[in-house]
Amino acid sequence: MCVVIRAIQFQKWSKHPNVKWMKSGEMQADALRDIRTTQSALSVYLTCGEVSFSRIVAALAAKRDKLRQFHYVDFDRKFLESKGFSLTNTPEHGTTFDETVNAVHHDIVDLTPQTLYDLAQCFLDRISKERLEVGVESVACFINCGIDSRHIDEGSLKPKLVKQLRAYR
Amino acid sequence: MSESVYVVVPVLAEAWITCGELSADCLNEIHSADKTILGELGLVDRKQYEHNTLQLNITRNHDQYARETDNSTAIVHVLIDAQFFKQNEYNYNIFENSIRIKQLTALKLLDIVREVRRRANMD
Repeated sequence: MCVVIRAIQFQKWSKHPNVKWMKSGEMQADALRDIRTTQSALSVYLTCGEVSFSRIVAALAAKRDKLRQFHYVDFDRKFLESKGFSLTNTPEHGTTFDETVNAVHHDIVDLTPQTLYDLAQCFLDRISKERLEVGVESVACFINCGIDSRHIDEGSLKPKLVKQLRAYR
Repeated sequence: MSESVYVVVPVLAEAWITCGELSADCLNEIHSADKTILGELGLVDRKQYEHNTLQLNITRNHDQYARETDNSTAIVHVLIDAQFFKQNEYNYNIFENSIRIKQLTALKLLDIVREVRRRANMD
């Protein structure tokens, strides 16, 4: 099974209890900003073959300025395709420091405002059933494993992140 | 709000004036932060606007885009009847020459996108 992974900012999807005007199940407009498209396409990564979930998390989290929790949504590729979304393998759009992860970069293509909203609704449904997050300690472990196995070059990482990662060695 | 008042939404013409499907990229032009449309949208009186006697005070990132690309002609100012926001129960603050639309759900934002598209293809 190929699983589609997309990192998200959880606070843009969750309803804060102080936000009284939003009804339960409604999506805040900011969520659409969290899945910003380029040329009508949304960037995602697929776990396939040798590329595991943890390797994708490591590659994406290694681009950050500092260590923090990793929130994401995941879907079976077939589920998204059954909803009418088309995925195209676009390794050239992969932007991580791990070339093997870049090779499994895909775009969900041909998105209109309406289909992006439909996709966002799938995200919201998924997130409301299960809080999908990787804790800080696990994120550190994944990145450190990536560095040790030379999938990720430590020299490419931000200094603050490197310092934080060393604390988990 | 008076019936002759319009909300000015600056957008890149190429993306919005189309007989085909809109690209999801259009949502990059009208998007929200903290559930509020980014920036203040200009408010104008239609007649003043048409006679070009009112200086628009638009603080959207499109102005920056225009400066960076020297491509101001790519921007069109779509006029949305201010009553659209009133009748559809949007929440907003009105300032002297601008409006800030807030408390936006994704659906309400999508309705604005549809309205901008409709107006962009009319004017």
